[in-house]
Amino acid sequence: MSNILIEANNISKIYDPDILLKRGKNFYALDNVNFVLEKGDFICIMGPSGSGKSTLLNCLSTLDSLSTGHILLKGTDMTTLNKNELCEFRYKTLGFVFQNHNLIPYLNIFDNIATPAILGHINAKELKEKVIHIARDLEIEKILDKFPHECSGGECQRVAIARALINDPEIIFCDEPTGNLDSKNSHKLLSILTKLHQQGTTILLVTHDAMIASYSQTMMYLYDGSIKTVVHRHNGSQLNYYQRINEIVLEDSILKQFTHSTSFEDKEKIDTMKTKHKKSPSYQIVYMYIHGYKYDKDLYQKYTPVMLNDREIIYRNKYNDEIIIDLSSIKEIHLNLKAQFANFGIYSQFTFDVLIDIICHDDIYKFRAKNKDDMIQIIHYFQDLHIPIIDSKKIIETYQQFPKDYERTKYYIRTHKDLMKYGVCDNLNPITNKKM
Amino acid sequence: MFTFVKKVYKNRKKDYYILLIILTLIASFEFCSLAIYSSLNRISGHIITKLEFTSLPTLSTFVGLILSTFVLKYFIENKKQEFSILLLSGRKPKDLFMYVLYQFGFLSLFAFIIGIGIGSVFIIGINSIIKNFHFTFLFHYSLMDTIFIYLYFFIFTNIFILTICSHQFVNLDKNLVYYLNHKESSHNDGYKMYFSVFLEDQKKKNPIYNIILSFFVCFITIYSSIKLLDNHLASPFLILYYFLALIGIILIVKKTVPLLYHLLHNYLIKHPILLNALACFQDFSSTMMTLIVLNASLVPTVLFIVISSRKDTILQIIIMPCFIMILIMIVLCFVLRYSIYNNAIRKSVTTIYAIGYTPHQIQIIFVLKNMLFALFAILIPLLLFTQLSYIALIHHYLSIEVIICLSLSYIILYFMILIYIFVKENQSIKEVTNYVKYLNRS
Repeated sequence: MSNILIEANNISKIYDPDILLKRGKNFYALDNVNFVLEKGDFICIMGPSGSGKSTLLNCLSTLDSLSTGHILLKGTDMTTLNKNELCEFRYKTLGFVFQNHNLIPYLNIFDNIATPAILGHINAKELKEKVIHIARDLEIEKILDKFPHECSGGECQRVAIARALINDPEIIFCDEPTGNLDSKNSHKLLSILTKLHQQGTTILLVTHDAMIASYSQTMMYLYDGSIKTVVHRHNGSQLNYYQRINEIVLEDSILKQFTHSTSFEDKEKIDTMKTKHKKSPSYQIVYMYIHGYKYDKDLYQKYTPVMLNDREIIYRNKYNDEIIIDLSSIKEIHLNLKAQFANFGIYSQFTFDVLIDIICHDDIYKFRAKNKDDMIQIIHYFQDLHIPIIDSKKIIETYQQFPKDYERTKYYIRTHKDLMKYGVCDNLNPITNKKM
Repeated sequence: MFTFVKKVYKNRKKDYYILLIILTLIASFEFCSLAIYSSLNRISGHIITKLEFTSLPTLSTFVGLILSTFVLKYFIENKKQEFSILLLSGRKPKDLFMYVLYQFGFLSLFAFIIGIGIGSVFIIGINSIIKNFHFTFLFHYSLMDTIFIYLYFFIFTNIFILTICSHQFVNLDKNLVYYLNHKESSHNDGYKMYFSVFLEDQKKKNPIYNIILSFFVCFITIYSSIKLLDNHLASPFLILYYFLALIGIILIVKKTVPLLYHLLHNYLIKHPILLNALACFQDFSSTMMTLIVLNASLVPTVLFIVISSRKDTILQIIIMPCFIMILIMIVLCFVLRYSIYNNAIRKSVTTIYAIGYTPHQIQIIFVLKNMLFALFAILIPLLLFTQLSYIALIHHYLSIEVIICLSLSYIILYFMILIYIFVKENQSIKEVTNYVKYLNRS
């Protein structure tokens, strides 16, 4: 069984989208982010104000909708779930700790903690025992009778953690949980989170404090809505990890101080202490381009770019780790097709993506390429390197016969009816981007 | 200072427009009531008769005064942080008076002036309606007298507001740091835990006193209500039972409902919607308590004045505009207070949604809360009102047409209020469940 709890594929978020681009361009709060949250992870998201940290957390926790891209919640596409199903998912799987603790002012502390659990109609005695047990662990058992306005900030935050834990969630989302706390209470809270992580709870934490981030296992640094840097702690010391995080934050501050904008190439820089994951769990939606050749800038920005040069293939997998595939290690390449139906009334149409399995000596890398007419250049590139290509769907031949995207699609519709069957092809609503 | 006030006006245009509309309407009703008072004063007759006649417009004018003070006080209280920033930037408390005068003095002066015009139109309207009903009595008021008393009320309202402000400014000056960092939070003091059900070793507080009190309150309320059904009750007893019933209802809302919440806590935690609805109702009723009490006491009091007076056709003419004006003023203040409450509750709704409650469940919570509110704040006063109306009818104080008209205006206005609450809450639920910003904003 897969360990993946949440998988985000090329997600983007635009607040107040301007379809006609009257303001010039849309502001991307999240810009083509890939993210995978596995069981037992303790990931921290850092970044300057307005970099999209909270937006990413809100999107991953199903509280906010996406503009483009997909999120898989335990393998189920979030866009296929209705509001009630999302509520059910949050109730069963997620726990939340917010910066402003968000306690309900008209409920006392006991009821605040119990609020998510009473949805499950648990036995009153059992629930009471559970609340008291958690309250004792968090040292808030003496304030159970009080109301939120009668408690201190630290107490309220611990109550928020207790509320997040009451349903034994698989994942805890923490949005700046220490934002309103003093250092003593912050460390107390983080010790609790660390303990929970050791017990197997998955934690996703947003913060701007390097010290807080040093309690995590992986740190992702967000900048302008994209993940810029990923650092894994592994078995290193917390101090070293903290220093590394601090360096990244400092580097970013200095970068902002002396340069007014980051160049297109800067976005490519990836900084990892050590790559943790290699393969992506499923087909990764990418745009392939050859270094030094002309490429489609729109597709480059919309999907994960995969760069091919003389010796290697370089890209970032869904875990945001930099992956370098040595071209000499590739045994063979399998090509396949995936159909997609965009349901748009009389303008409904099928589109086809090329699935590329790169089989190396030790691993298999799976890509779903969004390239259009330029796909043939990529295929020729592999052919020039004498890499065997298994093409059961005769994709190369079709590209040679019909170099234009429109003609090729029409041909596929005639010849590959098996790909267009219900359940085989993805059925999409082109406006909402929801799977139907 | 003036530029700052202008900028504040510009940035919160909508709030100030609503405030101006409410103040203008209240001022118009105040003027209208004073005009009725002035015309009744011109009738020749015994002083007691005059007092009986003028008591209704006087009541209506004082309600206007209380409500305009309530509205202004509420607005000024919400400006604590603005005042503290002004103090921080070197202004003296004396300057703050000028600031309040610039902001609210102008608004109330504006409302005062427009109120004269609209109030005069109301009086013309009332007179033409009376003519249509073929009554011989019309309200012929002295404009100068009315404006003089009206001006007196205006000055009194502003002095009252400045007195409240001076108390607030002294407190601000003393605890500037506290108010700068102060976050508005809901303090529902009426809802306290009577005993700890959570910890075995904790000393239990004894709720026996509250249980006895609640039983007593329920008994008194039911007993008084049954006694009120007696149509031949003497006036002093009628007053006694009426006030006992009224106090009983208020105490049930303030004491018995919270006690029941805790006594039935074990049952309630199996029913998340009921638990949340009850807790939400307690919060809502404590927020709206002033207006609930005002409504519950004023509506039947109007009839009480009629019953206590001698039978006269003029009273039937006076009661209609005064009663409707009082109702509209309460409803206006209710709308204003509710719109502020509705904004405050949004964060709680988003939190409940985030932790797994579906929008439908949240909707049911609010519907249950509103049903309880409608029962205690609208239906029970209506029942008391109906009972008093019946007494007024069988003793020929009021005609059936007047009673129907009064009852209909009550039902229509409060039905509109309930619809307004329902629509606003549905809008809020829809908005907060679609827009995550409410979770992250402090």
